[in-house]
Amino acid sequence: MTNEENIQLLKENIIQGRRDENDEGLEEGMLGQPGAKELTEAAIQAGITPGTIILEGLTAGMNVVGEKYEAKEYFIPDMLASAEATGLAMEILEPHLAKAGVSSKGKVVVATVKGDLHDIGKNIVSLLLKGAGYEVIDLGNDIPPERIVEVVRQENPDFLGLSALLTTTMKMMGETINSLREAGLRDRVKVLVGGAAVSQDFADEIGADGYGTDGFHAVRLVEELRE
Amino acid sequence: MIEHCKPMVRTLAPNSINIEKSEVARYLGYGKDGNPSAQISSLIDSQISEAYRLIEPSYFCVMKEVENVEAFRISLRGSNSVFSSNIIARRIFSKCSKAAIFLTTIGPRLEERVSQLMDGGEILKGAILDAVGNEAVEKVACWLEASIKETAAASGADVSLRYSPGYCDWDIKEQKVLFSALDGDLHGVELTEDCLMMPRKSISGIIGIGFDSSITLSPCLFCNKTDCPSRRL
Ligand code: B12
Repeated sequence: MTNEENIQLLKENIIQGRRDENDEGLEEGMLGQPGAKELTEAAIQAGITPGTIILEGLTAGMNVVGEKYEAKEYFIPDMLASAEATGLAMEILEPHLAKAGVSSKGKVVVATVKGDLHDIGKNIVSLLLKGAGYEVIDLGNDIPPERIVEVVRQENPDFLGLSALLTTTMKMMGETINSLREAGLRDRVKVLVGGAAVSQDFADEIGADGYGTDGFHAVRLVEELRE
Repeated sequence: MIEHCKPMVRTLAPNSINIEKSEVARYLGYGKDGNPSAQISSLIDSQISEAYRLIEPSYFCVMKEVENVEAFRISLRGSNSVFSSNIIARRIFSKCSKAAIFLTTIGPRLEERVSQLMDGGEILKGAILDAVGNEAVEKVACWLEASIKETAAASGADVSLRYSPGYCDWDIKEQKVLFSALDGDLHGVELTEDCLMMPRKSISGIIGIGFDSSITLSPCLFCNKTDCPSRRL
């Protein structure tokens, strides 16, 4: 297998959502063939740089997944399978990243706000951000403003992603932003909001930096705001 | 079967509810324009089997007489049960003689397993099991609804659709009123400060019973919020 073939196959396996050789994938006859895990290991062995593996294998693959999701060819589970495969590959690459001098694209703290227990949407957002090469700190759900302020102060993240599904809890997003402002931290972090209750209008009203409708949108927002 | 005023508590056998695969797929975002791939499809099957080992479906239900209905106010006889929703009051409960207040749950075990999967990085499996849980608790509510309908039909009465606090113009904060009306051992279902139920996979609500067939109509028919995601037509 040439290096190009190795990367091409890795990309293909990300698109198919195959973590390792035991996964079926979307097409027949894939079972037993190397998956994202084996192909990432092979690429490292072959001396391909982690930067190339991420950019041309993983990210390129996830971009195709994003396009397919947008075109309604892929659905949430397909996207999760691909994101999991990417996550696994990133885990294998991690020890090699520091050595090669590759740093993460940025740090993101995500949380579901106080009073809200919905976390599936937030979990999807954090998985996709990880897959896109960001360092993600997931605080969980029912997280009060004080705790978020504390973590922002300590971790100094580039982004903060807040999720709320209830009209009663989305108010907490505004309160969290106010608490950041009072603590003098508002300018240090870009705040993104999302979840069923939230809209672009609401995001503007509370002074958030962005509003995302789904996980891929969250990644696009982060990429745009990073520039 | 469902008596007046006395609260009913019942635990169902897991297999008395029918978890439908097509509904699980719908929760996962598949619509008219797509079906799960073979890989996802077999994962859904395995998580449905897993769910039958984890769910503990039960329901709680109490019947009350409708005492008085005004705009934005439905008062029930006994306890201080007053609910405020203009739409449901006007369209439904003004024509009902009784109301069934209910709570259904599948217990905590399924969502504990979901958290375990998520924490271990198995987001795909976790998300699928979570969707199976949504369908399961929905089916417990359907089961109860059918049983109330059957009892009502025996005396020639009609029943309304189900209404839940947090939907439409009914404030989720009135979960507190609903819980106090149920009053009793709710198998560990509790309200958080912000009126969410724990275990999460629970549904609460009210069903109207009366001798006017218009109560079976959806109030959404008369509502002009055509972009409402919860519209029932
Ligand atoms: C499934 C569901 C349930 C399930 C499961 C709930 C659970 N906690 O597990 C069941 C049936 C149990 C349920 C029960 C109830 N529910 Co419910 N439920 C839903 C439903 C249909 C889908 C939620 C979901 O899982 N979506 C799937 C995920 C993948 O989507 P998502 O969370 O939106 O996330 C995506 C995006 O929003 C975005 N995103 C999310 N976060 C973020 C963050 C950032 C930074 C960015 C950029 C993007 C982003 O990306 C995500 C991935 O694509 C919603 C309606 C809706 N359309 O959302 C109502 C809804 C949340 N429920 C509602 C209500 C009222 C209830 C009940 C209170 C009803 C009752 N009285 O019984 C109960 C409460 C349960 C409890 N524990 O207290 C209301 C809340 C309304 C309100 N007033 O705020 C909703 C909005 C329905 C409605 N239209 O009225 N519910």
